[in-house]
Amino acid sequence: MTVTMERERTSARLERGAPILEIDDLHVTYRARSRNVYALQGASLAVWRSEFVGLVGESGSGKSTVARAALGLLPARAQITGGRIKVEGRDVTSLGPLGWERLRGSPVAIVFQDPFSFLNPVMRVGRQIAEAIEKHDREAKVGARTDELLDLVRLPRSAAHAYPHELSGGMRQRVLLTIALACRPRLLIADEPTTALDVTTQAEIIQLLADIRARLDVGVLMISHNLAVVGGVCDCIYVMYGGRTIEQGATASVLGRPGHPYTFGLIQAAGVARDVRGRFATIDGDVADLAKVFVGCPFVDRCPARLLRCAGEMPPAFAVEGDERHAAACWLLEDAVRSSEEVRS
Amino acid sequence: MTIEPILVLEHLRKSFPQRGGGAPVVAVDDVSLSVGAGKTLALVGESGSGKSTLARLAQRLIDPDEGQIVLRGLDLTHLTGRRLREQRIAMQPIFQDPSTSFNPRRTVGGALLQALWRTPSATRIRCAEELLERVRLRPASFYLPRFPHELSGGQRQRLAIARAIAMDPVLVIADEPLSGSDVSIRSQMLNLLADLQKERGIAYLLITHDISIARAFADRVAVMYRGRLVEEGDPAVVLRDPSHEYTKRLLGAVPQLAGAAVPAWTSIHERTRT
Repeated sequence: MTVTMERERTSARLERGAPILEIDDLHVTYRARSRNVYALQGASLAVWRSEFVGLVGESGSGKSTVARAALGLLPARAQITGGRIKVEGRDVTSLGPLGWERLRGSPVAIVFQDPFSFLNPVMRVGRQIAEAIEKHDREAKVGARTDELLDLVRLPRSAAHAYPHELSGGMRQRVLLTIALACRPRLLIADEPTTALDVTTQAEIIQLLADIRARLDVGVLMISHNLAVVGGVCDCIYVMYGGRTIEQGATASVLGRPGHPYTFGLIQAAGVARDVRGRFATIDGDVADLAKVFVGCPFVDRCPARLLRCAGEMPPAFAVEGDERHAAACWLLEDAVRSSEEVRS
Repeated sequence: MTIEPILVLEHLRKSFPQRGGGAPVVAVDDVSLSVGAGKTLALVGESGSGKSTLARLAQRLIDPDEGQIVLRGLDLTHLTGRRLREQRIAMQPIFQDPSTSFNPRRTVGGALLQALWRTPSATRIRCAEELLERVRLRPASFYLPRFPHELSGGQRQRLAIARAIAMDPVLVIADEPLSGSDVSIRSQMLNLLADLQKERGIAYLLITHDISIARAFADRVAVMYRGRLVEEGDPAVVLRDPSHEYTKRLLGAVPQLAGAAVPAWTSIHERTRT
């Protein structure tokens, strides 16, 4: 992406005002009798209207907790212990159940990973779409609007008469998408929408999300564990690890010049690349244990490039050269470190 | 150089009757394949293409309508009972979802000891420990008394591999063992499978819809589409210059990343590690 394009995008952001969703240094703790799980320990992201944003990390990195927090769907044992969630500029961090109810569907709708568990198995698909239209779009003619939506997600209109089990996995995912779009959202959150699908179907669904973003001017926040999936369509990427946002920036910049060793590891693993010894590139070890609060970098145990200070001092976000929004939380990026010999010790 | 084939499938055909009495669905239609000793054959195709049915046929979990299954020169097609079970030992499966392929009420040790039923009982526990160590579930004494639900997804998949190799199989049939797992875990598993192949000469029939794995890992690749084998050969050749329309579509659908610039620290890291 050229610098001018990037400038235009930034100015477009300023004109558009507040992001639809803004999460700032969010901390969430799941309380249990035996132990607490500190699921989010500083997650931040922002999605503007008509922006396609990717949120990437391994399972257990906290990405799904972010999605749930953004919709007020955290379970009762979860507690927000710090930070803020804003929807269209309004602080909704401490909103009650009724307040959230008014935000769900519109402005923010979600599509989950496993469409089977979110569709009613004994109700025809058309009826389930109609429910969403009746609730969120009172003026619409239900029949005409259903047809319009089915066309939009490229399902045959006859799909409305089917039961969920009569449809394929990809078609069911489109039905969920139809229901989400029936609410006329301004932000669509897609939580691992293609993980359970075939590569060919996966490519179709991702292309569909990209088309919908362009046609309806909605923002899309796509959550995935695979950088390769996100890389093809997203404008910008947030990488999470240990409940924190550890890298963010424009897609080309993050994928081309990753600032954090974790991001580099994810890119290598996504490409099934082999290293100099003929091994498949991987990230050694297991995902960080969220039962503890991190004092230093959560990635330190697995990091191939750790410094002495990494275990004890939390790295702040440093700018990465090239793109003005590209930043990563890694001590390697600190000017003093980059010029010194500390790396080599 | 010819490699002795371990498993030969010849003209296999399997159809399933449709509910309501329509024409039967032909899931596998005249498929012939062979897996070389100590080699990996990747079977690629979308869901519904018949690859899992083919794997079940190979293990005689279902019976073919036509065709032959030959393991190490022995025709399994009509074996039954004890003689079939003995042959199946040499051909172990790994399933897609390790959380449903273990008895939830049996510990890790229990699952492995059960798989080691042929080993003399005096050495069984030693063997179980060695297997756990081999798949890097260390220390073994920590994992033996755990239940499957106490392990992470990656650890469970390692356990599934340990169980599969417990009987010293000549062939492991792995049905989508890596789909749905994180990319980092996926690479760890590929490294482990590659090491085991080198050490023990195990052949793999690896069923996957992920063509990047087939390209990086397999010695041969076979592409199935609607029950038929549409392409077979060296992955480098088949996937560089696919002849079938479906293979082209499959390749086009795989999300690709252009390589990232290698950060400065990697060279230092490589030097310190080796």
